[in-house]
Amino acid sequence: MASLTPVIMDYIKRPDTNKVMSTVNEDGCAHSIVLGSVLVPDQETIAIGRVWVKTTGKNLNRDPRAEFLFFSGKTAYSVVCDLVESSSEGPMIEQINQYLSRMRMSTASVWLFKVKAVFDEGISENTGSQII
Amino acid sequence: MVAIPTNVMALLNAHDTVKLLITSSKDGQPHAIPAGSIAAPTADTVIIGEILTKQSVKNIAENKKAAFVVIKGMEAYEINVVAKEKVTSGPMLDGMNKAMAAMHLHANAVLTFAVESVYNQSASPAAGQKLA
Repeated sequence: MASLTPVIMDYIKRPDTNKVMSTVNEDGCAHSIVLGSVLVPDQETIAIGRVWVKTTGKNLNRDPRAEFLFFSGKTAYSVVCDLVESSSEGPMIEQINQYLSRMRMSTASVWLFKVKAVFDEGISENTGSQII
Repeated sequence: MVAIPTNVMALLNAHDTVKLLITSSKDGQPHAIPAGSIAAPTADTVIIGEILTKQSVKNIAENKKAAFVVIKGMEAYEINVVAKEKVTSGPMLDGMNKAMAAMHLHANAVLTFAVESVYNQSASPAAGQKLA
């Protein structure tokens, strides 16, 4: 497992950072969803609420590998993760539902992912470099 | 031929939207990048400039299936595609580089993709609905 730096954790938490999660369909085609809120409970973990994630859920059941892309302006980070747990209790549900309620949505469970690696995907000569 | 709906095409060709290319390696690891060069010159074709796209190009060489995502606010669409050709000269590349010059970027080639299907991925109950 890998640990996110405080700078990247802060970047992920910012409301103006775009957040996308990608998985791969059974036929090999990539599939992405746009995320409204992402939690970073600790340096090794990313959590999201399960809302309208039918295909993503099917993909993760078959293969736990996922990639989160966090970006804004010329800065972007790709965080490579594995799904490790689906949780339906605890403070994270409440935290995510606080955000989702603004969009008249709610969730009964969260997915927890462990970070494996982070790549710089910003517009610079470092694009594609593994930074964690 | 699968045609991108008019409203989705307008978003793909707009400058105030967020656009992504998502590819997958041969062994199923997803990879997403944001790219301002993504456009739809015709209803059945999506293009992207080859600019800082090392991992994506490697993935496409292994697995021709990919997806584009276009996002504007709560509205998002996924366009599933198959890689078609790499254009290394001619008016398409010249046009791309003219547009990219404003961002001080230069494309070595234009990658073209044939559209296979289009899905609504908006943050709404319509998420996952096949549009084309």
